[in-house]
Amino acid sequence: MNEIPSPSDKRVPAAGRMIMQPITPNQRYSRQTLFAPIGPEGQRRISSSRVLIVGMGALGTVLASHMVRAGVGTLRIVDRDYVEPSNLQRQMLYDEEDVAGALPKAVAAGRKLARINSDVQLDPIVSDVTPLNAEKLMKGIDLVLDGTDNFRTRLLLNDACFKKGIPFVYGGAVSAQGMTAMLVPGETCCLRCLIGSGDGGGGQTCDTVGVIAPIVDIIASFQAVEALKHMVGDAGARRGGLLSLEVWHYHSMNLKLPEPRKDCPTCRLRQYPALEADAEDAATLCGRETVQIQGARPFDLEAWERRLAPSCTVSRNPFLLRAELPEGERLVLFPDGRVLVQGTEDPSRARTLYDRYVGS
Amino acid sequence: MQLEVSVPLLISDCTRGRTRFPLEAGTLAEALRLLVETYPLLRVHLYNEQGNVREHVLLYYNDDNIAWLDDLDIPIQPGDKLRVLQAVSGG
Ligand SMILES: [Zn+2]
Repeated sequence: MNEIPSPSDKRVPAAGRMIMQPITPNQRYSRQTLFAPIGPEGQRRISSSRVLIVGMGALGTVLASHMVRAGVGTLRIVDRDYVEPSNLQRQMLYDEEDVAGALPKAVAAGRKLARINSDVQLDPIVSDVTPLNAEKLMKGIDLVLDGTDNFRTRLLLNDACFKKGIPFVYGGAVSAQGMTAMLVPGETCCLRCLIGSGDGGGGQTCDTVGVIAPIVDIIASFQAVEALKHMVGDAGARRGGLLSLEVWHYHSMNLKLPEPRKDCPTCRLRQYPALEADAEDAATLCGRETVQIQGARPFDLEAWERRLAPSCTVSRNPFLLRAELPEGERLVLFPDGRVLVQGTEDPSRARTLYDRYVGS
Repeated sequence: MQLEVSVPLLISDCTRGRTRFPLEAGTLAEALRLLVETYPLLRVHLYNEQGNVREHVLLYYNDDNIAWLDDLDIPIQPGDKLRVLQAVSGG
């Protein structure tokens, strides 16, 4: 009986050694161009599309996989976080090595995506999305896909998209339920019309009530379908409406999107309040005991490693520095001047630790 | 007349664990009143202190978000549905 070698067995040749020719577009996209509503012309349009995905968590990784496999021209991915063990259950582009390396999600995802389709121009960005950079991140972009985990960032994307006339595909998932809607400036209402202007602090998040992976894949895949229709220019096929799904007991409904509200600041009055808001200096991330503080100046990680090493246990990669504090919390410093204080949900406690180790 | 109400699983502890149940009411306005009278725990999830529908809560009467209806004195018809949804923020 032949023994089946394990993947870590040195006798198994590394992938890619057997075939030296590059993959042609005809080979790669044949099944998708055979699908009549796409066809060769649709493929050409997809290949010249420029897509932004904000948030590379569970929704974002599924979205990015679909966009890269479908062959978009340019994919910009933005995420402020790094890969942690609790992500592996559902964030399909990451593996245990990414956790061990504490890689930023944008970096780890960018590496995986480049191996999936080297023809796509990838633009991974490790950053928060703020009123200061939201419009800049959308420069040259045709379509914005929502992979975020909070309504504050979504309203910011909503306002920037409606200001710039870029369609925005909302998606959200928690527990076994999810929602998605494609919001098109000048044609549909905006997210603010649908959910109001509060940022929904204290609502249910994946960190408080959990989430199962299939609902995230399902919602992101519905987002991806609408993205494909948009890219190939098949507006007539658009699903329309707000899709709401619960997959454990199974309820599904596709509800009519309302008319834009007469007093909506974003899609009626063109005021875009989220873009006017001050970038806050402290923000609690998706309820998981993390407070982010945006510092005024960038960090030289090497210098900060020397500075923090006498008092903390410090580890560093090219993208971030982690310092385990004797107080029990952890600081994560990013070169762009951001600090995550992990192990607390109290902004004032986070600020105290920040001042103690990083300085005000 | 009877209409079918559905609520998200996440707040079904306020409706004795049920996500779908019938409610007897003559009009939509009455149905909305009876819903929180029958299930008082639901009130805080649906309305703020001023009595307005909370942000991120969507109440749909059949295909229409009730926020866009001019008048809630609509007679209930057989097969009508009242759906409580919460905008989903996770990702
Ligand atoms: Zn609006």
